[in-house]
Amino acid sequence: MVKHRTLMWLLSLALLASCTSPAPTSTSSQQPSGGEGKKGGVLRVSWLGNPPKVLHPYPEPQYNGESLGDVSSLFTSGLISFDWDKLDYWVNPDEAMAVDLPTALADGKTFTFTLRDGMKWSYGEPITSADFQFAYDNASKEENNCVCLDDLERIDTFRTPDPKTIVVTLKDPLARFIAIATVSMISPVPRHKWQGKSWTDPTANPEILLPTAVAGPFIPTEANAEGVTLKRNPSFFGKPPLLDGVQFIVANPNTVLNLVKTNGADWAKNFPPSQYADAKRTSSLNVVEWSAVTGQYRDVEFNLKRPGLSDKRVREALVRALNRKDFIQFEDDLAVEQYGVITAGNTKWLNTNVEKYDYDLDKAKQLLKDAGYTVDSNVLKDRNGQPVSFEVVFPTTSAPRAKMAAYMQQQWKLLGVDTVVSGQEFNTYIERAQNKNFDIVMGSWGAVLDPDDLKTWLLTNGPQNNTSYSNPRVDELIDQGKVEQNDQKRKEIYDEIQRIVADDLPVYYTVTLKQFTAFDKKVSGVKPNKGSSIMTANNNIVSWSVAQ
Amino acid sequence: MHKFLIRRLIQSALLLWLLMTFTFFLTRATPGGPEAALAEAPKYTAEEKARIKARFGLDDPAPVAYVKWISSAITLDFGRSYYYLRPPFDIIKERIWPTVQLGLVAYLFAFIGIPLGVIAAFNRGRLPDVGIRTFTVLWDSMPTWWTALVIITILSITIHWFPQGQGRDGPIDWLTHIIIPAAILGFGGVVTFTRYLRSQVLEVLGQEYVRLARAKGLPEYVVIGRHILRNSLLPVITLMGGFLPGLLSGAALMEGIFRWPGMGSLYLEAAATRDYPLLLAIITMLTIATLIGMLMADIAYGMVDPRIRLSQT
Amino acid sequence: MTQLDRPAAGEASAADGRAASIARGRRTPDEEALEQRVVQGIWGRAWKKLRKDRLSMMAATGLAIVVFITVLGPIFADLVLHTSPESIQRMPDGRVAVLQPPSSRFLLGTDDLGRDVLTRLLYAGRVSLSIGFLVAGISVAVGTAAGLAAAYYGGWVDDIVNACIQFIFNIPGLFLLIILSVIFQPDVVMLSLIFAFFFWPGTARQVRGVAQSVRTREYVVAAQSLGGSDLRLMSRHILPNISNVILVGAGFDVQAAILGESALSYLGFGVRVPLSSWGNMLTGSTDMFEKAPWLVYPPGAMIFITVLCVVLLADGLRDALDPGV
Repeated sequence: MVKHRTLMWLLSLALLASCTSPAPTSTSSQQPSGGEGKKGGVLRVSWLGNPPKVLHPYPEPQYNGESLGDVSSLFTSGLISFDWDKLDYWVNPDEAMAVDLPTALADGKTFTFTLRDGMKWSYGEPITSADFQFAYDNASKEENNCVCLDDLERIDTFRTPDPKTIVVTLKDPLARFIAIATVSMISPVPRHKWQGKSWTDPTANPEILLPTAVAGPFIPTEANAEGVTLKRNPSFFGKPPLLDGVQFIVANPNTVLNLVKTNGADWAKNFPPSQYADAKRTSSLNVVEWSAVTGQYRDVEFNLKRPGLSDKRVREALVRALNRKDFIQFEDDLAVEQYGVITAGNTKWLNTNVEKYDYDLDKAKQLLKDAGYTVDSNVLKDRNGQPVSFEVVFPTTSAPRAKMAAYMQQQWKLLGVDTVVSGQEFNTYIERAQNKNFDIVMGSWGAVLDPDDLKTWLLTNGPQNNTSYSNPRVDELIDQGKVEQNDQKRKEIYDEIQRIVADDLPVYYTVTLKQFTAFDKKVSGVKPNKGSSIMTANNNIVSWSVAQ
Repeated sequence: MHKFLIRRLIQSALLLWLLMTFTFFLTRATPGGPEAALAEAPKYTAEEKARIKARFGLDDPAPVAYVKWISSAITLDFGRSYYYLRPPFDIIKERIWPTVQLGLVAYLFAFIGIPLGVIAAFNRGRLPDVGIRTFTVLWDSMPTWWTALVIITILSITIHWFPQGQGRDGPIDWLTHIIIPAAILGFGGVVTFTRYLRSQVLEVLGQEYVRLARAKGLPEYVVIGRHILRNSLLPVITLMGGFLPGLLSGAALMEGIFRWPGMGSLYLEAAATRDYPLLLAIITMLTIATLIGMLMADIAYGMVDPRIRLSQT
Repeated sequence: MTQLDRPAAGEASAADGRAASIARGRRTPDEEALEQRVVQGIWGRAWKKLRKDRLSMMAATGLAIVVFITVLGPIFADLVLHTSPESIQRMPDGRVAVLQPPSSRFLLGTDDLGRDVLTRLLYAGRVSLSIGFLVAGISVAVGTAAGLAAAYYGGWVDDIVNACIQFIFNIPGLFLLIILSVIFQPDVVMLSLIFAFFFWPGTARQVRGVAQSVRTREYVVAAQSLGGSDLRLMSRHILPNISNVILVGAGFDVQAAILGESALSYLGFGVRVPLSSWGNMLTGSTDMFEKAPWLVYPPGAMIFITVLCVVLLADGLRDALDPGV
C-alpha cells in the first residue's frame, strides 16, 4: 500500500516503542475508594507495553519485564510480606506462606522459616518445603540464567530438613534488611509438574507458557498477543480475593484511557501524563495519584572523564543554570524535586540535608569565570580559546527527555555553551551510555528501596556507573552499610553517602515522577499506598471488586 | 517464456542468498544488541550481560555465527527466539494470519481507487476530477496514525466504542474490528491507485485505438473494460509487485494502534529488542514473498501487454 | 532521405529484447534541423498549454507563495517580530509558557516547550521544502535513468537494475538507518540522499514497466530505424511518453519525504533538536489534537497545501506533455 515502506517501519517503530512509556510510580496520598463492594466481577485492565511472552516464575533477564511482573505477582505467593507504609517486612496471614518472620541464629547468617499448614497447589497437591527446594536448586543453576542469580549468589546453602522447615544460610552476614530480603526470595515451584521437564524450553514444558499449577490468588487461563486472562484460584490458602478474575488487555498510549472511558476496560494501569488533566475531568473515572517509594526519577549524568566536565565548578555551573521547577512543569506538574539517589517517598532513608544546587544563573556565570572560562560575544571559551561545546544524549523513545534536553540546550546558551542534542534509538543509546561514549546522558531510573542498591551507580565500576564516578570513601561506606546490623548506624552511613555524592556532583538529580492511574468508578476497594504497584502492594487487590 | 522464468528464478535465488547474508551482517553490526535492552533493569550487572551474550552465541565472531546460522537456515531451522524461547516459525504462524486478513481487506478497499481514477480522468479539469485529486492529496497528507487517532477519538465520543484487538465472537464481530484499521490502511492504496490510474487512463484516452473503438460503436463499458483499463493497468501491476512489504509495514502501524495481533507488530518488536533469530526469520520470509511478488508482476506485464511478452522471451 | 548506410553488423533483432547498439546513421542537416524543431515543439507546446491551464497556474502560484513564505518568513520573524524558534517563552509569573492557546502575544500559540509555534512553522518550511524537493529530484533523476536503461537495453542491464531494485526493496532499512545515524551527522543534504536511496527503486520500477511498453511502440521503432544515439532515443522519444508516471511518482516522493523526515527523527536522524520541520511538528503532537489543536493544524495545513500544489502542477505538466489531450 505504501510506496515508502522504510519510513512506515520507522514511524511504526517510533510509535510502538513509545508504548513502553515509563511506569509512573506513585505513592498514595489520601484517597480511600468506597467500601467493600459486592463480591465478584472481572477486573479488565488496560495495559501499556508488550504482553509477557512466557509466564516463567524465575524469568531470564531478556523477557523479564513489568508486564510479566504484573501477571506473576497474581499467581505466585511468597514466604513473607512487605508493608509499604512502614517500609519493613512482616508476615500477613492473608497471603504469606511462612508462619512468621524467620528466626535468625546468632551468627547472623542462618535463617529458619516455618511453613504454614494446609497450603495446596491449585491442582490439589500440598505445598511443602520440597517445592521450595526444587525451585532453589534449579533457579540457582547458572545455565538457567535466572534474573535472580546475582542475589541468589549470596546464599551459601538452602536446606529443607522437614516438609515444613526451610533453613537458609548466607555466605556472609548482611544487614538485617538485605538478609531477610535475600533469604525469603524463593517462591515454590510445583515439583510434580515440573520434574523431568526442561526449566527453560517452553516447547518442552508448557507450564512455562501457561502455568496450570499455581500457589497464588489467581490462576492464568489464557495468554496471547492480546493479553492475559486469569481467574480466581479456589485452592488459594490465603484470603480469597473478591474478584472473580482479572483480564489484562494490551493497549496503546492513545487507546489505554479511551478503553476505560468506553467501558472496554475498568482500569487504565498506566497512561501518558498528557492525558492526566482530561482523565481528572472525566466524571466516570477515579484518578489516583501518589508518590511511590520506588518511583521513577530522572537525572543528568556527566562523563567525569571528559575535559571540562571533570572540573566540578563546570558541572555546578551547568547545573545552576537549570531550574527544577521548570522540569516539573515539563512533566505536566506530575513530579516532585529530587536531590539524590533516594526519592522523597523513601522517608526511611532520605537525607534532605544535602547540597541541592538551586537555580542561580549569576552563580553559574561566576563559577565559570573562576574556572578560567571567558565569554566572548556570547560564546563561552576555555583557557585555550576554544569554544565550549557538550553533547547531550537521550533515547528518542522518551519524549520527556527530549524536551528536557532541548530545555537544557536553551538554558546553557545563556552561559554561552553550545549544546549538541543527540537523540538515539533506544538500544544505541544504551550502548553509548554503557560504553561511556558521551559527554552527558539523560538517565531515567527506578529508585531503590534499600540503599545498598545504590552501589549500582555509585560504587567504583558499578554496573550502571556510567559517569566513572569513583570516591574511595563512598566505596568504603557502601561496604560498611551492607553488613551493618544496627539500624541507626546504618542510616548514618547512608546519610553520609548521600551528602558526599551531592558534594561531588557526578550526577544532577532532577525530579521524581508521581505515579497516577485511573479506575472506572465501578471499581471499589482500592487502597493506595507507597508501593509502585498499586495492585499488589500491601495485598491490595484481594479487596477490590467491580460493580456489575 | 520458460527461459525467462528459469533465468529469473535463478536470479531470485541468488538475490535471496545475497540478501540473507547482507541482513545477517547488517543486524549484527547495528549498535545495541539484545543485551542492551536489559540495561534498564535495576539490578543489571556485568556478569548478567556476559551470560546473555554467551547464551545467545553473541561471543562468536560474526563470520562464525553467520556460517552457523545459514547452514541451519537452509534446513529451515532458524533457531530459537531470544524472547519467546520458541522456534521463530511457531510464533510467526500464530501471528501471520491476522495480518494477511488485514492486508486482503485493505486491498479490497484500495481497489476503490481504480474507478475513482477512471472518473477523474474522464472528467479532466472539471469538478469531479479536482475534487477527487484534492481529496486524495488531503488523505495522503494526513499520516495514517493521525487518521487512526482521530477516528478513535470520534468513535469514543459518539458511539462510545472503538475497535481493539481482533474480534473473536463470530463473523460480525470480526468485521467490526477489522473494518476500520483495514480501511485506513487501504485508503493509502486508494490514493496511489487513483493517481496512477488517472494518469494512465488519460494517456490511453488520447490513443487512436480508443477513438477507433468508439467510432465502431462499441458500448462504453466495453471500451473502458477491454481497451482502456487493460492498457492502464501497468502501473497498478507494478505496485502490486511490491505489495507484501508495503502491506506489512503499513499494517504494523495499524496493528500497534488497534492492537491487532499480527506480524507487523511482531517484526517491530523483534527489531526493537534485537531478537536476531526471529528477526532474520521474518525478514527471510518477507524477502522470499517480495521476490515472488515482483516476479509475478513481471509475468503479469507480459500478460497485459503482449508486446512486452515478446521482448521478454 | 534513405538509410542506405544502415549497418548490418551489431544490430540485433527486436525479438530478443535487446536494444540494438545501432551504429549512428548519418543524417543530413535538414533531417537534423527537422528533428530539432519537432522536439522543441514538444516542450514548447507543452509550456504554452501549461500556461493556459488555469488550475495549474493557480497551483504554481500557490507553490511560489509557499516558497516565498518559507524563504522570507524566518527573516521576517527575526527582524520584525523579534521571535526565535527555539527560545523558551515565559509567562509574567515566571513559569514556562507551555501550551498556550493562540493569543495576541503568540499568534499560533506555544508548544509543549513554550516555544512560539508561528515562528517555528516559518523556519520549518525551509527544512521540509528542501528535503521534499531534493529527495523528489534525486529519486526521479536516478529512478528514471535506471528504469529507462533497464527497459531500453533489456538483457543484462535489466538484470542488474532489477537486482539493485529488489535488493534495496528488501534490505531492512531500519538497521541500515541506525548504522548510518551513528556514522553520519544528520543534515538536510545527507538526509535527502538517504531518502532518495530508498525511494528511487520505486520510481525505477514504475518507469521500467511503462517504458517497456512504450519501447515496443511503433514510433519508437521508427525512430530507431532512423538511427540516432540511444540517449537521444530515450530522452526524446521514450521519455515524454512515460513522463506521466514520473510526474505522479514525484508527487508521492515529495509528500513522503516531508512526512518521512519526522519518522527518521526517531533514530535521531531527522533534523537536529531544536530545529523544526513540518513533519516533526506534526509527529510531536500525536495526542494534542483535542488539547492543543494549534499544534496540529498549522503544520498539517502547510504540508497539505504544498503537496496539493505540487500534485496539481505535476498533473498539469503531465497533461501539457500529452499530445492526445
